[in-house]
Amino acid sequence: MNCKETKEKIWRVFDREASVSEKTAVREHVEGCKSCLRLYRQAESILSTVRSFEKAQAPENFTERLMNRIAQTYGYPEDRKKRAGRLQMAKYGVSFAVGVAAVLLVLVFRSPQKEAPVAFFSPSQQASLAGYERTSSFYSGKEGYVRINLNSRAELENVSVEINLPEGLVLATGEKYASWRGNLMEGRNVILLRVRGASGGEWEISGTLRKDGQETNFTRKVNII
Amino acid sequence: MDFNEKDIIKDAQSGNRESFGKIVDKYKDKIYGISLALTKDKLEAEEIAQQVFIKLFKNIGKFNYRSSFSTWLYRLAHNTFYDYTRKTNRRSSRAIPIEKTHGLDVGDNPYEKLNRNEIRRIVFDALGEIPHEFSLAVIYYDIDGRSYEEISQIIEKPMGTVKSRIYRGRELLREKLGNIFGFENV
Repeated sequence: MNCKETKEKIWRVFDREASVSEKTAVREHVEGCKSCLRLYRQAESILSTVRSFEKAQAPENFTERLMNRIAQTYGYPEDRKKRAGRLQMAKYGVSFAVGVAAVLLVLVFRSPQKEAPVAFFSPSQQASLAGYERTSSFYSGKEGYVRINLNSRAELENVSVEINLPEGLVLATGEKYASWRGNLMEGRNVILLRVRGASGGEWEISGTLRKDGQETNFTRKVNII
Repeated sequence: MDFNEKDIIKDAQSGNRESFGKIVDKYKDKIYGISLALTKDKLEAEEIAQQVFIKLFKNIGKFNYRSSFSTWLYRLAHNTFYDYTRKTNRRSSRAIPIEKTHGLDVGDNPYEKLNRNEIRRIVFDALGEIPHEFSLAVIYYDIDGRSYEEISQIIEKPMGTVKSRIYRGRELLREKLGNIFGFENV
């Protein structure tokens, strides 16, 4: 086997389906060829790292959260009676929250053109940001995500974001404050907050975004039912 | 599919909550692992994994036992992963974890300075930056341990396409990592 053939087959050596003869041919060549040996070792270290990712574990209470979400949004046969009762309440003027899943879809995929952007920085700057005001709904005592989009027209370095939660909302960790510092990429950047409804009402998450001594505030409405 | 799993699936198809929960428990780590490899963000990965199982809940009645349940589930999941990668357009969007992450000082001898976790994170990030059709092929084969044939059924493409996507994905990974680890183009 020559260098060209070896380079074409070098990844194949690490495949479960590769034959013994294929593996032997590549290994025999790399033992005597410095340049192919380097490629072989690169491939080996990349794949051993990639394959070590397999041990990821779903977060604690993943199944419980999923089952609650399904029960709230779709309902199992045994839940349908309760669900019907809840819908009845909505009919009589009590607000009814759409499931968190539906809220997320709206947040992620709604067309930006239809929303009113809130300017964060002066338009004269090369870079500017825009956030969007939306309202999400959550059940009290349940967890969900609030997604805050930051749209940047250019890469921005050293941006900091501080977020304070109102009385009716708490982070899933139990805290009331979250912060982040880093660089924003051009385009959409997303901050995800895992929160839990604490008490009913219409609440406003407030945040401050800072860069180079300038700052701007933004709010995010959340309805807890 | 073993006999027990078949029973559990039948129960879940009849609307049994406990059986559906058992299926979720069996596959949640795998689905979450793939989501995490795609998003590089724990919260977003959980959301995608939940979307996969919601889709399973809505479609489980359509499973007809003609293929393996796991391959069928992965085909459902693949569409969710594919939608995610298509809609997020990762060249202009990413999720920001709330905790600050520190930049890496790789220096002259990166391998000597970086510990295993740091190397893992860099490779993980690189995997998220290559086009989705290639990253998903690498994820299915190298992380999830699926065979060429299973991947072919999941992505509904011929085996030759599967092999070339895995190969191309790995080569792109090597190119991405070359700048960091000092790999030379040989």
